[in-house]
Parts: sequence; C-alpha cells; structure tokens
Amino acid sequence: MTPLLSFVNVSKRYPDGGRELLVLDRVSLEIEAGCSIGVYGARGSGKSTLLRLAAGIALPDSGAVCFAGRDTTRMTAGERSRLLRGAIAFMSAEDWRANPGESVVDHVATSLGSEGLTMREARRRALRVLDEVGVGASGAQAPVASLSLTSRTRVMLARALARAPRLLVLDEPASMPNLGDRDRFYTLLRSAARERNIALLVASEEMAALQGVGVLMSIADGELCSTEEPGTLLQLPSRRRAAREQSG
Amino acid sequence: MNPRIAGVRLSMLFHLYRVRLRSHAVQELLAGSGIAVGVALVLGVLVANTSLTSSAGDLVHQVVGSARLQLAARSPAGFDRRLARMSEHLPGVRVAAAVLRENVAVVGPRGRESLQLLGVTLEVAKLGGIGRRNFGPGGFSFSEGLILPASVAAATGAEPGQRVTVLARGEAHAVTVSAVVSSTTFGALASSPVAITPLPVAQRLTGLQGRVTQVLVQPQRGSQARVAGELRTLAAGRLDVEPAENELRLLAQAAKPNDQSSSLFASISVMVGFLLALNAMLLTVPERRRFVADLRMQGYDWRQVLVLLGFQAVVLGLVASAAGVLLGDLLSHAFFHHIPAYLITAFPIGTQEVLPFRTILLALGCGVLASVMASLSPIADLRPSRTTDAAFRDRAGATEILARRTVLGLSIAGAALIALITVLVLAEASLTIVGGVALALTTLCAIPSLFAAVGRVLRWTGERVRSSALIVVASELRVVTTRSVALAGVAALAVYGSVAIGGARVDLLRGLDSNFNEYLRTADIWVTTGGNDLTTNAFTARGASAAIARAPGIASVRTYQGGFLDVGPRRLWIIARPAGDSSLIPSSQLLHGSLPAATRLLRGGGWVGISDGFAAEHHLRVGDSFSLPTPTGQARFGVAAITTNLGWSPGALIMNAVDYRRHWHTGDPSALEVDLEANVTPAAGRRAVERAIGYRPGLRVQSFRERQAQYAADSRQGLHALSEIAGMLLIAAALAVASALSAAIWQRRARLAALKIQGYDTAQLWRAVLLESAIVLGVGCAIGATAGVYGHALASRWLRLTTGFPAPFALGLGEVFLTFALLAIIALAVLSLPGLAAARAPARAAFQE
Repeated sequence: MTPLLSFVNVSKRYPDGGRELLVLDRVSLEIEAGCSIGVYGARGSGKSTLLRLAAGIALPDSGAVCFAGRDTTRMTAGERSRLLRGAIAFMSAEDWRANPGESVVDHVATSLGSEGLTMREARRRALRVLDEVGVGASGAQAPVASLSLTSRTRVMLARALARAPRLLVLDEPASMPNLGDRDRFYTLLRSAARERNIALLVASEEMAALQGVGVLMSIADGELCSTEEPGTLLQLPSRRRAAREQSG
Repeated sequence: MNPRIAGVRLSMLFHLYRVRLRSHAVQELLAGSGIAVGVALVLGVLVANTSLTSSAGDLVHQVVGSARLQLAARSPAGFDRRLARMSEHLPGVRVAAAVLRENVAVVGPRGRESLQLLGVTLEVAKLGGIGRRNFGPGGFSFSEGLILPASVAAATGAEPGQRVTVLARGEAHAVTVSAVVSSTTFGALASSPVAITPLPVAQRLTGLQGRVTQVLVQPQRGSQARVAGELRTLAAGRLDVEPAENELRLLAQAAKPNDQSSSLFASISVMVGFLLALNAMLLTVPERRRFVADLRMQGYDWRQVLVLLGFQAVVLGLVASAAGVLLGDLLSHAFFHHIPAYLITAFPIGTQEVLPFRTILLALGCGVLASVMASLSPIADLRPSRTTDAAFRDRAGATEILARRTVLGLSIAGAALIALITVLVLAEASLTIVGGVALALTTLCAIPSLFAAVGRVLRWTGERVRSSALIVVASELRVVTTRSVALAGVAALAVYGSVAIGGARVDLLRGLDSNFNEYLRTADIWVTTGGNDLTTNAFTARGASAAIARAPGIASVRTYQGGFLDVGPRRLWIIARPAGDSSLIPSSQLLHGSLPAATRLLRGGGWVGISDGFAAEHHLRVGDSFSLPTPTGQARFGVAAITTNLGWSPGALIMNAVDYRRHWHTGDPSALEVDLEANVTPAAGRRAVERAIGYRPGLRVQSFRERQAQYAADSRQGLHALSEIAGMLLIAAALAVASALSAAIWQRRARLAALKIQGYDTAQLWRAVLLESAIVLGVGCAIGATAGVYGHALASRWLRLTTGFPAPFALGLGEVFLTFALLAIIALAVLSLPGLAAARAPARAAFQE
C-alpha cells in the first residue's frame, strides 16, 4: 500500500556564512493515512525544514518527497499549490499574517478562497469549523488582531481543518503560556485528526506537544531516527553516535 | 572628522544606512524613485513657470543696458530721428541711443524665421548691455550686415558671409550675415528672435528712412526726473516717455494669464509632486517602525533614534531629489522650450531656459521635506505609552486603520470645504487659484468614504461570486487604511489636475477658435505679411489694392489696418476694420452692449469696442468716452461695446479704419481683405490675387480657411505649456503610482506567501494584486475625475472673468474618460511585472520578515 507521505534519502543544505550547513542528511520516513508522527528536536535541529519539505513549501536538494505516491519535487508550482489547497494543511505560528481589521471568521474564510468558493460559502464552512475548535459565534466576529496566543492557535487549527486535509503538518503548534490551555489544544487536535482520518506530522521541542502520536521520532544534526515505543526515553542521534564512537 | 550626534558617531550613521540599503535595497530604490519623480515634476513645472519672463528679462536688460528712460513711438512707423538727436542734447542726458524696431522675417537656405529687427547706433555701446562687450574694441565690427543669433541662424541655415532675404513691410531685401553670435558672447540674445543691424541699414530695409521707434536714454546721476520731464516736453503728447524696461512690464501684463494659469496648474502639480514623494516614503513606514523597535531594544534612546531616522531620511531625500532635479531638467528641456507664438508677435522672447538656483533649492527642499515628514511617523512608537516592541506586535497593521469616525469626519470636512470654495470663488473669481488647491485637498478627504463604500460592495460581491482574487481583495480592502488612501490620493490628484487643466485648455481653444473664425470670416482671401502674427505688421501696398480689384473674380478689396498700442501696462491689439466689413465685432465675444448699435457706431467713426480688462481698469462702461494716446496725440473715443480680450491677453481695441488712418497718420495696410464673386472658389481666387500683386515674397495670400488654420495652430501652440503640464502630470503620476503600488505590493510579499501556504497559486495572487491595484486606482481616478470636472468649470469661469479670454465651459466626458484610462493603463502596465514577481514569491517567504 502506498504511504500517504514518504521521504526517501532527503537531504537539504542551507548556506551558513561562507560554507554550507547540512540541515537534513539522507532522511527517510513514511506516514500512512490517519497515522501520526511526532518529531522531537532542539531548536535548529532541522524540524521546520523537514515539515516544510513535507508540505511542499520547500524542495529538497536531493532525494524524493512523495505525497500519495507522487514526487512533489517533480510537481509544478501549481500542483504543489493545489496540494496545499486541499490534501495538505500546514500550520505554523511563524506564517501568521492577518489583514488590518479582519474578523476571525473572515480570516479563516479568506484562506478558503483559493478553492473557488464564494465568501458566503467560505464563511459558512469557516463558522462550522471554528465552532468545532471551540471558537463560538461571538469569538468568530472578533477582530483577528486582538486574539490571544491561545485563541490564535485555535483559529489557525480551524483554518487548517477547514480545507479537510488528509495530512496536517504542524510546526511548533502550541507555544502557550498556560499548560492547561496547551493540553486542551492537543486533545482537540488529536480528536479532530482521529474523527477526520487526518494524518498528523507534528514537530516540537517540547515533548508534551508530542503526546499521543503513533510514532515518535527525534532529529538532531540533520539525522532522523525513530523510537520503538512512544513515551520511552529518547536516545538522540548525536548521543548514539557518541556512544558508538565510545564503544568502537 | 567623525563627530558625535546625540552620542552616535557620524560613521555609525553611515554604516547603519549602508546596512539598511543592503537589506532593503528594493524598497529604498522604489521610495527613492517616487521622490525623484515627484521632484522632477516640481522642478519641470517651476522651470516652465519662470523661463518665459526670466529669459525676456535677460534680453531686455541686454538691450537697454544702463538706460533708465525711453522715448517710444506709438506706431511701427516711428518718429523723426531728429527728435532722437534733440534728446541727446537735453540737459541732464548722459547718453541717448536711437533704436529702430520692426517685425521682419529672415529667409535662409533652410527656412524662414519671424523676428524683431533691431537697428542700433554705436551709442548703444555706451549703455553697456550688448554694446560694450560686443561692439567695443576687440568686439564685432559694426558692418553693413546682419548679426543673427545662433538659434535663428540654425533654423534658417544662415552662415556668416552668406546672403539672406529679409522680408520687411511686404518687401524683400538681400542682406549679408556679418556674424552669428552664440550665448557665450551675447547671452540671452543668442536664443532670442532678434537680429541686429546698423540703424541706417534697418531704416533702408523697413523703408523708414530717417525714422526711429525708440530712444534709450541714460540720464546723469540724480537727473532722471528732470530728464523725464524734458522728454515729455519733447514728445508733445505724441510719443510715450517710459522707464527703459517698460517692455518687461508690458510683457508681464501680456504673459499674466499664461503665468496665472501656469501658476494655478503649477501649484496643483507641485502639490502632486510633493505628495508623490511623501507617499513613496510612507510605504517604507512599517519597515522603519521595526527598525526603530530594533534599535530601542538594543539600547538606543529616543534622541538617537530621531537622529538615525532623520539622517536616513535626509540622505535618501537628497540623493533622490538630486536625481529628480536632473530628470526635471531633462523634462523641461524636452517639453517646456516652446514660447507661445502669440507673444512672439509682440515681444522678442527667447527660448533660453532659465534655471534659477532658488528653483533647484525649492525642488530639493520639497523632496527632502517629503522624505523627512514621511519618516517621522515611526516616532509615534517612541511615546512612553507604546511598548518597545510595538512594531513587531502590530502584525495585523492595526495602526494603519482609519477609524470610522475619522472617515466620516473627513467626508464632512471635504463637503464643507467644497461649499466654502464655491461660495468664495463665486464671490471673488481671483480666489480660484486658492480654490483650485483647496479642491485638490477635498479629493483626499473624499477618498476614505469612497473606499469604505467600495469595501462594502466588494464584500457583497464576494459573498455571491466565485473568485479567489475577489476574496483576497475584499479581505485586503476590508477597512480603510492610510496606505490605500495615500495610493489612491496620488491617482486622484493626478486625474484632478489633468482633467481640470485639460478641460480648461479645451474650453479656451474652443473659445479662441470661435473668436478667430468670426474675426477672419469677413473676407474670402487675406493678403498679409504672413508669419504668426495677429495681422499687426503693416506693409507698403504699392498699388496692390487696385491691382487686385481689377483681377477677374474679385468682388471687392478693403484695407484692414492694425498694430499694437502701449497704454499704461497694456500692449493693446488695435483692430482697425474697414467700414465695409460684414462684421466689425465678433458677436460671440460681445460682453456688454448691443451688436447692431455698436456696429453702427463704429462704422460712423469716433467709437470703439474695448476689452473687458481694459474697460475695468479705466472704469469704462458702454456709452462712456475716454482719451486714447495715439501717434498724433490724445484722441477721444466713445465706448460702443465691451468684448472679451479676443484672444490677446492684454486686450483688444476695435475701431474704424478711417479713425485709424486719421490718428495713426498712415494708410499702410496690415492686411488686404478680398471678397470673391459668388462663383469663384477660394483656390481660384487666391491664384487670381497672387497674379495681381505679382512677385512679392514679403506678402502672403491665404484663403479664409488657410488663415483660420494658421490661427488655430497658433492658439494650440500658445497653450502648449498647459497641455504639457497636464500630460507630464499624468505620466509622472502614473509612474509614481505604479512605483508606489509596486513598493506596497513588494512589502506584502510575506502576506502573499502566507496565502500560498493556504493553497493560493501564483496566478490567483497575481490576479488579486492587479484587481486590488485597479480598484485603488479606480477609487482615486473616480474622485479625481469628479473634482477635476468641478475644477475645470471653476478654471473656465476664472479664465473668462479674470483673464478675459473666451472660454465657454463644456463638459468633455470623452477627455475625462481618456485621462482616467490612460493613468490606469500606464500604472497597471508598469505594475504588472513587479506584481507578478511578488505573486511568485515562494511560500517559504512567509517565514521571513
């Protein structure tokens, strides 16, 4: 059976001063429909790059990133846009951009405009999803600029879910000051994904964000490895390498 | 030298600006080009507005030198030179130089040029000016030939030593060119339509032996009043005694409507230029706010931030303004070197462009001021109530939003301003210039409310129409922001200026065409000295009238006379019509009086028709009588009618040719009016007249239609500066709007990229960018066109009432639409590529601030 998303020997470099920094080094992974993978790693470990490659936002230097069997590196820009329009949703606090004076519901509805909906249709769908993520009718009319970090994360989730994706890619999804809010958000995320059969690819530097994922992986120095059991102590690749060198 | 300013080293200020240039090169370039275009517009228009009188001023100073007084003839026939000799011996006179001036044409191998012939004596050398340097020792030899300016020599192909033909008073004479002078030796004279020759030669060429038209007098120190009195006694009421530079006063009066209308339109253009520059800088505000926040978080205090902001604004303003000055100079060279033909007929105005230092300073100042003003807005973030990182947290651009009450307040202010303008202008027409500028401001007041309405329409449409671009645009224009108002404001001002200027120009042309049509249709064929004149150059008939009358197909021949007469500050156009003319006063130009009664009075003699401006100046009404200075002394005339200025700004005076002959003491025609028999075509009639007068290259035979076409062309050429200002305003504004829109869109690349993450593709975003830009332009153009039509009506009324020109208002919707479309097409065409580049921004750009 073809996996929903697969990475095959994917490498990615970024310029770093006068030299090149290897951010991903021959990374391979697979994710099936409806499954979830959590990627744990420190800041600068390559998590965000991995997720952007998964969503087709960035392209690898070598290797293949396939979605439903199709190599995204061989797709046209338009085809990649169409993936983001429906099959893949990307959620990151970093790409949060709102227009002046925009309401929450209009913000979510605008993101659906690329599908060719009328604003009325888009708004109807947006209201329904906002309600599902816990943003009520009054909250939906609030100006988006006035949202707290917690509410904004829920709106971002609604924006992602509104397009009924098959894969939801989340980069550091919930940097919330309140632990209770954060737990409620992850519960909401997992239940939404389960109900809609959405595959999740979540990356965070906080282990709490990755609770309940099917497969937990860790990333460091561009290398990705998986743990057998979720919840077990992670052995980071750099530590493993050090251990190998010691035993060798 | 590395001083500290508010604790920051100068080298650090330069370093920080270099850093900014490296990181925001595109934005800085777009802001700079916006400023440069604005400054170029300011400079071009200011130069257009000052060159005319400045170049004429240079020329007059060169001719009169140190002379303080002049004795001037009231007709081109001049006065006896013996009077000039007598003036030399008047007590208190140091130098008296006789001059003969006559309008002639010079024909060379390459063409013909109309110019003023100056016949001078060596006495002018004693006055300085052109004389001392050029005719003194080591200068030009004062030979029998003609000295031509380089501009005339180039146009006619004449070279030193070559013979050219001088057409004067209807006769042709071969004269040798003794010298061609350049601006290095003759200054403004080198680019002026004049030719210099010894007085006896000028007298021979013009057939005015023993006569001069002017004596320039330099009194001894402290004797000016006494000499003036002596000269008046000598003049015996038949000549004018005036200051030597009176020509400038007369020119200022003649050029006044041109200057006033240019001033009206120049003020609008300068304001647009300033706003273009301001707007260009405003678009960099979000980045500058983040820059300020960054600096504050790094420990810079508010004074240091102010210094940094000011320094960067001044550097950008200066560099961009300097580029704008160069561009403006190019523009003024390309567009503003045309002198109105109608003025050349009465004044020898040069085409030398004058670029005063203060004009450059003013243009530079506008650019720097706009740059500094616009860069001051991030200062709001320095208030204690704002957090240090406020700029970083305002990612939704909340501070850009115009509140509803502000929008409403601006609408009310705009409506009140329009009402005030209307009342003021109706009460006092001369306030139209102020009204025009205030009306431009109302366009800015009206834009926010139209944006609010358009936003509602967009949302309503977006609810019902499937269009991704529409949804994005409706979201962007959901609220009224300072950015969109600023962008639309530039378009509005440009369209306002172009529609108002263009409309008034078309009205004026229509009025002038109608006037000259009536003026010329009294004859089927006109025989004149030719050239771009107002039928003011007299010629020696030499039996031409009788010869034409004998020719086949000719019904009648009448002698038309006319010229210019200086009365106070006005050089009046004298139209002396034969009583047999079918119409003496153009009916369309009559303002006061009864046409049949006035015509009857004029035919009877002793009555004249005068222009409104002259009548107002002398408090004259129909039926009053007044004294007119003529070459034979003061003559009394009754006012039979009051007309417009008949297309000549200082005004016209219509009289019977018999009166003219008596008071001017000359029978020389300035035109022969020929009527053809009913079955003779104009072409056949013209050929018959040409055969009858024989070979006379100094005379031109034209049918009514041909002469009408010549006048129409002259009218259009005379209003050239207006159309150039309107056109340049439009093109400059279109480019500036395109540049500002491009800058605005470039800044929104991250937002567009974020939309890509939401699934929008490049084509959808490009369509959205173009649609949004078209809507912003449309809002601006619609407001500008509406205000422009009102401005056009006010300007036409002002032209009629203040300048006396015939300018009946007519709404030209086609021209309004054309202006609207031209601006939108140029701006969208220029914008399309940067728009596409922004729409092509990769999705990952959303993560870059």
